[in-house]
Amino acid sequence: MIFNSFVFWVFFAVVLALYWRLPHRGQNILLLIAGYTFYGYWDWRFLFLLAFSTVVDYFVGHFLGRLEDPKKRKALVVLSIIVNLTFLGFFKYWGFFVNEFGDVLRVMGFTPHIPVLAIVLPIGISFYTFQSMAYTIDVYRRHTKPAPNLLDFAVFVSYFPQLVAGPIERSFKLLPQILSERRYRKGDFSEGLYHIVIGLCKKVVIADNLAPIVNHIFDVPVAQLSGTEVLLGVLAFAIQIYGDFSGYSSIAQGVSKWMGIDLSYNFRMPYFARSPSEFWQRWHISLSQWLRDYLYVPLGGNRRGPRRTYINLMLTMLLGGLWHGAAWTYVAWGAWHGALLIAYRLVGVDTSGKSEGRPWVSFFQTVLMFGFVCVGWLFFRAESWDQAMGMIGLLLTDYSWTEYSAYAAAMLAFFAAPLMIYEWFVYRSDDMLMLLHRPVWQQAATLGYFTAMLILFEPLAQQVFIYFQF
Amino acid sequence: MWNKVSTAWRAPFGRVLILVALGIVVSDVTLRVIETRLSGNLAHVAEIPSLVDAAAATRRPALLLLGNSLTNNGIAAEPLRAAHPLGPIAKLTPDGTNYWDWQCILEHQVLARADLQVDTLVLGYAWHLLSDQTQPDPSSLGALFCRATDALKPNSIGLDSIGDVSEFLLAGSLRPYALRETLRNRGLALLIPDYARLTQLANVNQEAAKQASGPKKQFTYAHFTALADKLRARGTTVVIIAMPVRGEYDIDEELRALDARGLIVLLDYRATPGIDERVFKDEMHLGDQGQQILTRRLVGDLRARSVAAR
Repeated sequence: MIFNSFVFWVFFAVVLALYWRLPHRGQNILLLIAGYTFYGYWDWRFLFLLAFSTVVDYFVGHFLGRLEDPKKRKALVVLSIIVNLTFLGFFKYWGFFVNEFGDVLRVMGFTPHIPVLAIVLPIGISFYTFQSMAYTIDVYRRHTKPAPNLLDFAVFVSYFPQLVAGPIERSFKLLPQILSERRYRKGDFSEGLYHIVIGLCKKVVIADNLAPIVNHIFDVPVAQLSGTEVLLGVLAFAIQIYGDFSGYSSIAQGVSKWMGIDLSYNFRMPYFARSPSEFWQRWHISLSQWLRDYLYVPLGGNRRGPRRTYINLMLTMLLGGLWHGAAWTYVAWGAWHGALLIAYRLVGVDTSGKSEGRPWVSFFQTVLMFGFVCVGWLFFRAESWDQAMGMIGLLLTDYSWTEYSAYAAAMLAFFAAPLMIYEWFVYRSDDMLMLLHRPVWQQAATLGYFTAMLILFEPLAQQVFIYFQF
Repeated sequence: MWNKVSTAWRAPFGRVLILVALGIVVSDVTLRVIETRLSGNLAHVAEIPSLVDAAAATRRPALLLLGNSLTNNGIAAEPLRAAHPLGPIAKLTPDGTNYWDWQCILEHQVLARADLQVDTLVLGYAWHLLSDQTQPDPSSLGALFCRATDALKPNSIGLDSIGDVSEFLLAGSLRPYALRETLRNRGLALLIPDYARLTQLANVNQEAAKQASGPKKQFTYAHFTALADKLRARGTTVVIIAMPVRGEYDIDEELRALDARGLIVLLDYRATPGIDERVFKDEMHLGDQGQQILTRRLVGDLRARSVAAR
């Protein structure tokens, strides 16, 4: 059940119609049923995994709240981490490591006969595993109180708007909202609708219409491409993955808003970032914060001198890359971003504040950073290391303009340019809900444009959300 | 109603919503007025009832030529008079249609009319377009060929999910949504260089990749068999033509069995002498020369059948 399907909207209409007629406890029971229905719609067998992870983390949290003995508390949190990472490791990385191990053995001259398990990756496992695991760590650190009962905790883990592709919500933000009574506030409808329409437009109109161009360029053998086509393919992918993922997050926010629950912003115009650290404060914010709080800081962060800081940055980004999937191209993507963070620190570029009065410097920094991000996307999207390197080679040597380049450039301009212009205004205003604070005619014109695009430019083939695979 | 609108108008966002809704209503009405001028295909869809009326008005048994653009480009109507000299000939060949659209056309335009007698239905198809597994286009069904009440029995028109039914109903009630493909193609053809050709190429490659990666399907013909039964009960001979296309496809055994049973007449024109790469005008459709060759063959076959029948 994906957000860009009629099935979801029928499902959501039924949930919403019941939701506001129920008392608080009834709402939570409904949310739990809805979450399991939503998740089980893909494959009911995955529900056992979700339920098991929920039960283990609930009881770990429960006992952590009661125990005072540091050793026992530590043992409990380690148990939760092991259970969660075992699930994640088995379903997501087993095949990868077995294949790599087999390759190593072959290089050493052995002929291994390693059994291959056809493991289906449960959708969104990385998201809910991280959310659930963060809860037990936060209870262990006494940053959050244990959930008072299994029902509410199960709702926290299986809350359907953000279950399969985030944002990865932290317990101290989402759990209190689940525990307290929701009220429908003035402005919730308009804000929710705004998020939903923009999110659907980003996903359905922008990402899905650029998908065939990206697929074509990354499916064709490198020898048959020109550098310009590669450039446009990578640009199209940068917009596609942004539209796809930020679109999902936006719809999740809107849907949740209509149920009186606030979700975090997962994206804040990342392509206008002027440095890698700013990029990571704007791209997949909930994962960046997770990695910062549960990996980078425990590793020592920047408290143990520059060299250790660089090592910590690189390790964090490598694991961040691996979180996305079991492939060397994701590791390369993580390493690239780690190297960027280190390089910017070494050079000492500070982009923490707005560069008032230096617009050209700011513009140059933004373009340069976007270029670096696109190189990273090339590794991310490439099917293999050889393909990525071949494409980079073409980018540096071949500037021929083909008829496919003209087609791809025009499609990119038609679908992506209006969104980027709109986002530029939002970035400048520093107000994510800028549109809702504009005059009525501007709101009507903008919402009208997005609605018209949604009605008319639905893609020829429906695409699932890219981030579901992570 | 008016009170609700005026209350909504007082809130700023209510005004936004009313203006957006007004824009949608205006575009819907505008499209309903001008839609036959948007494309030749929409004009053809709009004229289907009048073509059927004209055939019924003659009070003679008609020959109905049905299909999609393969049939439209592949068979000319006028030369068929040689094989069907006494009755009217109606050619109904809207683009991008398949079994489910044809079924709705036949149910609502032919079988529902007592004043129309069709003695021969010639139906051109390719690949597995007549099978139960053919993907319906809920939008075209909802907006152009079926009736809203058909949604009460969604399986009978190939709709198998809530999503399909929702799309069917939305397309039936909102013209901009129903005609989005036409509007999109017209708009992007103006703005994007080589839009039609490169998009068609991408679609062909994508479809080929999907076919190659997907498991081999079993094709069944339960819906088509029931429809053919109904037509035969009305005295209509159902002639099915396996149309020539670039590339190859198989005729499913179940369809051949219907021919062997005598429920339909299956004409296999996939390999027709004289039809080769040179007589196609694009990736899929026959040009004028190909049309002449194929129509001649059809006329010959229909005449031979009528002589045999006598």
